[in-house]
Amino acid sequence: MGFFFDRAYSDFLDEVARRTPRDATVAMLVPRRPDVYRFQAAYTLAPRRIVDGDAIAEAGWIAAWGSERERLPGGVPIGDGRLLAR
Amino acid sequence: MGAAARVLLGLGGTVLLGFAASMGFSRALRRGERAAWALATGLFIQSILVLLFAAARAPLRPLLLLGAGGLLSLVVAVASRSLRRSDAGLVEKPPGGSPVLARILFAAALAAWALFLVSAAAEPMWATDYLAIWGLKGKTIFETGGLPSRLFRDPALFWAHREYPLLVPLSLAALAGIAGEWHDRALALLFPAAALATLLAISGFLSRRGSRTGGAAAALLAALCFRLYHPVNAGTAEVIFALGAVLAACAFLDLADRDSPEARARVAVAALFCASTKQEGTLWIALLGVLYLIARRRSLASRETALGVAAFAIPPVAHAILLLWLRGPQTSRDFDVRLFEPRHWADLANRFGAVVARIATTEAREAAVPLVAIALFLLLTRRAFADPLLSALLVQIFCYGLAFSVSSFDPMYAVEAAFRRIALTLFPVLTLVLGARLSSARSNEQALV
Repeated sequence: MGFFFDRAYSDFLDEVARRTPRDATVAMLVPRRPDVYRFQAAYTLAPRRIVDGDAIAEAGWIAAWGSERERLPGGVPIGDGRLLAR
Repeated sequence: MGAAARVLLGLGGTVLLGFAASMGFSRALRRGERAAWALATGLFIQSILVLLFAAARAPLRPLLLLGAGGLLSLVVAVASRSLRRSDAGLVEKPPGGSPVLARILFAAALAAWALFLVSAAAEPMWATDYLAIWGLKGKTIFETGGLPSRLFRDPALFWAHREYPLLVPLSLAALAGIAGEWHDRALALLFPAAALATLLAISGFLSRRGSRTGGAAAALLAALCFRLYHPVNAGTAEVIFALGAVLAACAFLDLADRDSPEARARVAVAALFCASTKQEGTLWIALLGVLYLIARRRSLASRETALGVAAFAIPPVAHAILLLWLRGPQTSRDFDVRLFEPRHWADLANRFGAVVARIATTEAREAAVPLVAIALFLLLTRRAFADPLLSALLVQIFCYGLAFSVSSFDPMYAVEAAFRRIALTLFPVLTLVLGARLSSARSNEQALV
């Protein structure tokens, strides 16, 4: 049930967790709705600090998923998303 | 050993720690009640330990947690030895009612509970409130071995309800510490455990104060509340608060019936448990405190009454001070309290009317059959010793309506999102009222025979 809205998103978050340090700040560019995209990212990636796209300056990593991945030029493709180290 | 087995062992350890610590004030109760108090006390002790470990920057290791918990329980048990005698007469009376019928009813309650157990443990916890609030905080506390200030100050977590109490996240972190990993499917076992403790508390209390049959019937009714004991509530504070609300209600009824240091200690522990589980827990304790004052109106100036009031008041106040110290002042973004100002009263009345109408035409309409059945049962049966709880339940529900009326968001959205979920946490308390009336009806029948 946790990823009923987008099953592939689960694998993406697991991969982001594997590639980023536990004390990282990760900016997540994810669809605004449903809001559980944001909540799942914060929960699955804990204890990493997760911020929205408007706080990219605070993040050492940027992860983008689905329709939002076009906002992130470059980075490593992971499934339907991308991950970029800044 | 699998994660589920380790969490089960952790829960067993929690109950043992709680049993040792609660022995001083629960020894005279029925076995089921003692188990419920043991779980609640154990969860609370472990939560305190997580905070102490965080302060000492010590890792949450299984043996360390259990060893420190055992030591702390021993200290509490020794300190509370003096309480042991004065309510020893509580279980002198053998429980009334048919033991066979009571066993059948309780077996049915266990079968209903087993459905919750299986559905809750079938998959990782997934409720939005678990991901955004309770689970996020618990996992962060466990993974960092501390209480990071960003949980309460980071603007990026504005949606994580920084103002909520911390017993549930701390309990999850403690269990994960004992299990040695954050396993969000195995940790879900905490919630069926709390549900079972609630059923045991209801049946144990009513078989002591009413009858075995009334206790088992009330436990069955509570277990059949599938909207409360639903997988979506595995991971949130609702099931845990239902346990606290029942324990507080039982402790209040005991204290109102017979003042004793043990009953006061139970009130204080339940008050602390409720206040540290959900914000509405503090309201519930305040209402029970008012009921206690009404029950003691003829001896308001006595030392016993003052101690009783202290048992209701001091734990929530101490908890609020501790939270303030831990995380600084927090304001709720949920409510617009300016609506309580006199110049907004007309608007407030309109909003309250709209909220009541919405509840009446949606939630109450959907639950019309059980609500009418409960109303008829209350009309057709005689008053019983648990009836004072009815007024506290009604005022608590009224306050929920008022809170939705001052919602910062659309009050209708707030009703749809939360009313049923939070109102149903009170249903197990209502079963105490129903079970007590059933017990008194049956004892009247037996007296006539």
